[in-house]
Amino acid sequence: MLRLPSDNYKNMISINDVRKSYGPPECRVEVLRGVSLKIQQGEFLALMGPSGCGKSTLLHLLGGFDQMDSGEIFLGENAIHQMNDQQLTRLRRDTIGIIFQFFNLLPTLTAEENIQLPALLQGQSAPAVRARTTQLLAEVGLSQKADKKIHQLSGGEMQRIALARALIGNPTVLLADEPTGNLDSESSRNVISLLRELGREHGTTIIMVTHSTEIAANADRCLAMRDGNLLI
Amino acid sequence: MFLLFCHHSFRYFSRHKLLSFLNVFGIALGVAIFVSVQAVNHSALQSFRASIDIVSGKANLELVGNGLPFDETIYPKIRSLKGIAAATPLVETVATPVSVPDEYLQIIGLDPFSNGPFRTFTLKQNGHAIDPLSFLENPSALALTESMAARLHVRLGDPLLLQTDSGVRPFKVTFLIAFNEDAVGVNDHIAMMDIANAQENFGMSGHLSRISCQIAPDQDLDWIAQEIRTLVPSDVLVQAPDRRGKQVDKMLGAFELNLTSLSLVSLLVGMFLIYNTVSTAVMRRRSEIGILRALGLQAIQVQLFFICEALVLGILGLVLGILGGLGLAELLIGQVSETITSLYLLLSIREIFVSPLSLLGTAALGLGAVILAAWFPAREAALIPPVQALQVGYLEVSFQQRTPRLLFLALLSALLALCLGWASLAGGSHWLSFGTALFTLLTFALCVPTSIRWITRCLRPRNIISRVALRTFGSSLHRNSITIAALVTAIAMLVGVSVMIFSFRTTVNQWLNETVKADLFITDSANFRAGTRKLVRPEVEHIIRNLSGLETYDTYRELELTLHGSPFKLSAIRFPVAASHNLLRFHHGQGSTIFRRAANQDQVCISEPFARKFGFHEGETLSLSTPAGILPFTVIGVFQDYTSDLGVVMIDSQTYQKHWHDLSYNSFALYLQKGVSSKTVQATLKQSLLLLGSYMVYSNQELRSQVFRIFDQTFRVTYLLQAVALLVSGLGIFLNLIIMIAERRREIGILRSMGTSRFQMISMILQEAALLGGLGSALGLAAGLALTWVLSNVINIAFFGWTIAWATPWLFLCTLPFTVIVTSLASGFWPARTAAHGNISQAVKME
Repeated sequence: MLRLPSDNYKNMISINDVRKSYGPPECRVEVLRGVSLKIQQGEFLALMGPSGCGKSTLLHLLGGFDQMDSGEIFLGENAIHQMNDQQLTRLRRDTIGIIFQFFNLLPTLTAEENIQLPALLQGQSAPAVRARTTQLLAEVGLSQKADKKIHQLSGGEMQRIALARALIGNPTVLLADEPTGNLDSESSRNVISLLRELGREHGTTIIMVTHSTEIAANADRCLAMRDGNLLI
Repeated sequence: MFLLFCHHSFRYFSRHKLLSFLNVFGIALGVAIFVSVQAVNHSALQSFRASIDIVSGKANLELVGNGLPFDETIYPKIRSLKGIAAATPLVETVATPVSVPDEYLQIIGLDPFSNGPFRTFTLKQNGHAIDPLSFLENPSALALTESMAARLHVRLGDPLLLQTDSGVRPFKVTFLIAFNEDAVGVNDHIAMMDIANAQENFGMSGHLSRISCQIAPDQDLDWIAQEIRTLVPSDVLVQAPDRRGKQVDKMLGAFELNLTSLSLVSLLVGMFLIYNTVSTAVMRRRSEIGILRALGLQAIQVQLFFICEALVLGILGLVLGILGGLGLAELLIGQVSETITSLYLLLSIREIFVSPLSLLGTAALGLGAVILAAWFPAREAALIPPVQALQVGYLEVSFQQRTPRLLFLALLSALLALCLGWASLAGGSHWLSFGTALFTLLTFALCVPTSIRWITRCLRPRNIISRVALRTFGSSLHRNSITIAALVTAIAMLVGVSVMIFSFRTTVNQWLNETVKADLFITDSANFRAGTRKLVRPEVEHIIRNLSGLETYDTYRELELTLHGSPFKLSAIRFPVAASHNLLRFHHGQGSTIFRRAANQDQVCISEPFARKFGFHEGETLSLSTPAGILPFTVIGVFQDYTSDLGVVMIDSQTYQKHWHDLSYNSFALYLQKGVSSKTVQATLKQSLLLLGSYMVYSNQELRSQVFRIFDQTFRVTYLLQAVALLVSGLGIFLNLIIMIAERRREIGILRSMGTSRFQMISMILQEAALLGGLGSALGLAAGLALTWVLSNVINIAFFGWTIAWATPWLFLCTLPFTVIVTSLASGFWPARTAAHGNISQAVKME
């Protein structure tokens, strides 16, 4: 079971000198060059920077989607960098929620089923999941679209479904990778205000990667990255 | 265009090495099976022809006895006939070497004086060519092939004891036979001796098996043949030597056709593989197609593009398949050779022959199959509008929309199968019956998409992993349909042929129980190895008559005759004995009544295959060629018989002896008095017959074992063909899952990012594999049972005419789905493991 920080322990996430590179040795690209960062519980943090600066990679390392070359990442008192696959799976399932730029909803499932997926994976009871899904669909304003297939939804609607899916497991940390990158400005504003609202309501720590300063302005704190380094 | 093809396609192949390799391997397997069967069939015929040619290869006319040897006094008449440039007499028989009773020698007695102009061999002694006249220097001289001498462990100058009609006789291996270069593939069981020597030792004094003739160049062959016919009795056939080859063609036709059609199924399964590969390539490269189309590539060029890609894989598969097929033929040849010898004629295939024409034909068929299989998905790719080509799932959606049309085509195919079956049974071409089988398979293959949709709608699993697996299974309708269709075809063939063989075996067993009631049987041991050819010495009957505990005995004499150019068997048995002991099933009437009525009358019973093959019915008159001329016999009954697909005419021994003047027998069946131990009598008989020669005395049970040994041997090759078809479709499942994982990498990444464990991921993919196997085996079972019906009631009736009562191998049918599902799971494990261990970060980034 994941040990969360006590009330007097405010640092939810600690990132210490994390390095990550890709590619074969002859043309290796260093994406993260010793990033260190502390994020407090319930904080809404925006990570900004140009394409390829390493912000999505950092997000994926936080989510346990990838292995770092060196460094440490602590979520509460838990060392992500030391976790095996089983522990990382449990972390992703019980503690972390994620939203992607391209929504990444499963096309074979309906909107409602997509939302239910993480909760069912957690082993929550079906009636409880159904009730929670109804509540979340109402919160994101898509109660009427529950039975729709993914290709029948607009981009904004897809991202709201993705947000509901990210929240259904009551995650402690919500990772948002360019959540508005594929949306028009109105949909972007709606999704961000929803993200902020629901994040606050659920007490979730949010780390959002974005290109847009306008979107980043909604965050509590905004950090910039360039060439694999964090600019303070 | 060519450069574009090279850039795009070869890079695609090199990027997907495993996929390309598996495809080439799958095609190669299908082609290998087809090539091996063709090579074995061709080699059987070539071997027989070469063996005919060896002693009379240069003859253009021959005289052969219709069933029995004929009087040698005919020879001087033929030789002195005007227009005959050369003629030579021959005696042919079979002998068993005492030291190696498992082998047999096909003895040819030749006339060294007259054989010169005909022969295509040389006799050799210590490396030097010897004149065949040297046979005259030593009456026990025998010539063997080098390979046979090696198998018998004898060298030049060694004595060799042979079982002859007058007992064991010593011969001397004096020469080795060296065949001329053009006489390839000759049966190496051939052994030669002087004709007089052969006649004396093998009970053929005063008789000949054959006279080979050469017609003078300025003479008309037909006229000479007609002239000879006026000089010889009607039971001596005057014909061109190649007619025997044609008879063998006819004789082996159905057997070879059976193997060919099974091998074509492997090719069909390979076609499904190509279809799936091309449609997968189309799906994967939809954006590439869209870009190329947007840049000005024409639709026909896109189609050509994909067809050429399939052809590259196809040609590679063909080359490997042809090479592998020739290797496989080497493995199959022993089995096929033994089967043909047991069922049809003496044959020993030692070499594989492949005519360049047949290879060209196979290549054309293989490439045709590849083009046909690639045509439709390639056309689909060509017809996608450029904008839609860039959209994910366009092909899937368009395929889903076509499901009702495919169901309609399935119904149409079923209707066609029924029509063709009816046409075949109503007297149309036999080939139409294969159309029935093909359309039956096609019906079930076309039902696959509807079945997938039906299953995904009906099943509602509670578990989320199972639900995702089911939805994914249903959403990949196009790819899964083809994989399952291939599996359905392979399983249908497995079930169809297995149930047919099981039914056939059960029917034969029942038939044996009812008809073969004798306690003991006696025959020459050579008949076990080389079919019913050797005669039993008259002294054997004398021993039987004096046997204590004997109730009665039956005699059996078998001749191979020809009617309208097709061979059949004439079996002479004692009808009065059969009336009281044999319970043969007749179409109309009781066997006992029929046998009693026909005893010592010019009446015969005919087997079902004979009735079908020659179109005879009860009450009709059948004209048979006898030494006394062509005589009419009334068909008194049609009986069920499974001894030969050539057809059997059964005649009373007394009638046979009266018209054929032949008092010899091939075997005896002994009925013992109640309470007499057959084992004791068997032991006594063995002891008594020991001095007379190499005789087999076997019990009723041993006869059954022998029957089923030949039966199982006949069908052994078919099991191999089925196994390969299953292997190719198993490969299809593996490929399908590999492709599925590559296509759904992002979805797998998403699921993993949501907290799906590796175990759950593996379980999800294995559930899809199980669905593939489960649905494939369910439809395959249904298709297989339908195919069994077609095989038993349409193809069998059209080609063989056996009555096969349906019998269900429940254990096999019940365990098959589990076996298929387990195989599917095994095929899916590696792809599933690969999917579960993929990098989530990379997968979710993919667009």
